[in-house]
Amino acid sequence: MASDPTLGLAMPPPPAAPSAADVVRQLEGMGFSNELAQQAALSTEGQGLQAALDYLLHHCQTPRTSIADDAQPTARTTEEEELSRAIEMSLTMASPTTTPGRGHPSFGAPVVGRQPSEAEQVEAAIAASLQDQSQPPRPFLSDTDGSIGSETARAIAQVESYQMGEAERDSMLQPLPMPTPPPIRADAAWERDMLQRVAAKAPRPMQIAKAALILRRHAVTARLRVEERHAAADSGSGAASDRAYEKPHTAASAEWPPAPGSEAADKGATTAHERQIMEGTRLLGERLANLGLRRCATPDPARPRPTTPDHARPRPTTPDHARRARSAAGAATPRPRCALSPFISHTASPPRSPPPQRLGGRRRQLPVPGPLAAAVR
Amino acid sequence: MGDDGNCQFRALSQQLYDDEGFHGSVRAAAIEHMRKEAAFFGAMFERNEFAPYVEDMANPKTWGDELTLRAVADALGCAVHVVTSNEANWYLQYTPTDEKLPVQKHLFLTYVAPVHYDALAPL
Repeated sequence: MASDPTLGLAMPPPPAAPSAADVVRQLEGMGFSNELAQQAALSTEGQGLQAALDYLLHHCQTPRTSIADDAQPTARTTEEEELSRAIEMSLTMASPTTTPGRGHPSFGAPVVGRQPSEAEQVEAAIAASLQDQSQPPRPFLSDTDGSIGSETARAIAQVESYQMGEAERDSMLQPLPMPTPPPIRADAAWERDMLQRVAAKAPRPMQIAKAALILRRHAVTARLRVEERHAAADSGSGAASDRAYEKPHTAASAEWPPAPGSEAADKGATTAHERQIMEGTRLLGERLANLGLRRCATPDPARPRPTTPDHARPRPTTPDHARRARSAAGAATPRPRCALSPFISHTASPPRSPPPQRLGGRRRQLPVPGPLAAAVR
Repeated sequence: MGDDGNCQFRALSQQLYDDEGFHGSVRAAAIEHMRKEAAFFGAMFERNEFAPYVEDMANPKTWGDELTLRAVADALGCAVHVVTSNEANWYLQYTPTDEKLPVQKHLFLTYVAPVHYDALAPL
C-alpha cells in the first residue's frame, strides 16, 4: 500500500477504471435502457462512466438510426420503445450538461482534462434526474400535440418504478413463521388408565364405517337446524344472530338452563332437537360418571400445563380473548355462541375455576375493547 | 372445550398437546391428509362435493366431523376413542388405517350428538 512519507499515513490506491459491466449498471440506474447502456459501454470501453454518458448524450442528439443501426435487433414492445425514447429525450433535453454555455450546477464550469470522481458522477446523475422530474413532461418529437406520448411514457415509468420497489420490498420481507405446536405429549400411564376405564364397561367399539355414515347424517341434520335457527333469528326483530341460543321464551322457570330431566327442562326444550341434546347430555353424564371419567372442560390440576414459550403459541383470537376476560371478571353474561351451552352446565364436569395466576414474569396487559372494558370493570 | 365451532379440533389439541389452543394445527393436519388421500375420502361424497367440503373444512370454526377424526387418526398415527351420547353403540374407535404402524397415542373424546365434542379425563 502506498504511503505519504511526510505524514506517515496510508494513501488510498488510485481509483480503478470501472468495468464495462459497472458502466452498464450505472447507466441503467440513470434510466438508460440496457441496449443503449451496453452500446455505450462497448463503444467507450475502458474510458469510464463519463465517457459512456457523453457518448450516449451525443448520440441521442443525432438521429436515432445512428445507434439503432449497430444495435442487435430485439423484440421490444411498443411501451418499452416509448419508455426508452422518453427517457432518452428527457435526459437529452433537460440535462444541463448538454446545454451550451452551462455547466452542471454541482460541477461548476466544465474542467477540461479532469475526470469527475465516482461520487461526483453519482451526484450529477441524481441532480439531473431530479431536475428532469421537476420539469413538465416533454413531448415526443413525433407527437403533433406533444402530450399523449410523454404522459404514457411517464406513467409507464412510474408503474415500473413502483413495481421494482415492491419487488425489492417483498424480497426483503421474511415470511412469518407458523406457530408450531409442541411435541405430542407422551404419557403412557395416563393412556393406559384411560383405556382401562373405557374398556372396562364400554361395549365393543362400533364399526367406524357404519358409525361414520350415521354420525355424518346426524351432524348434517344438526348443522342445518342450527343454520335455520340462525336465519330465523336474523329475520326477527333486529335480534343478533345468536338469538337462537338464548333462553327459550316458553320456559316458565326463572332459572336457565334447567336441570336435564326436570319438568322445566322438558318445557324449555321446545323442539325435538333440543330434547335430543338434553337427553343425550344426561345420558352421557351418567355414562361418564359410571366410567369414572369427566369432560375436560378445565385443565386437570394434577397434570402440569406445558411450558410452551409464548412466541410459539398461537395468538388468541378475539372470541377466546373476550371469553377469558369475561371469565376473569366473573361476569354472568350468557355465552351465546355454543349450540350446547344451555345444555351442558349440569353434567359431570366440575364448574369452571378461574385461571391460575402466573408466577413470576410480568403479565402483559392487552388492550380491552370499550364495551368489554366496561364489563370487566 | 371452546365452543366456537372448533370444539372437535380443540378437544384433539387438548389431548395431543395439553392445550386446546393448537386446534388450528390439528385442523391443518387433517385437511392436508384429506387432500393427500382424496381418493379414499372423496369416495364418501357425491361427485364434485369433496373439493368444496375440504375447502370449507379448512376454514376455522367449521364443525369437525367423523371424517376429520378419521383424518387425524391417520395423519398423526393416533387412536381416537369417542364416548358418545347415543343410546347404543356409544363407543367409537378410530385407529390408523395402516395397522403395521404403531399407535403413537390414544386420544379420548366425548361427543354430545350431534353438536359438541370435548376432551376426556379421569375423575
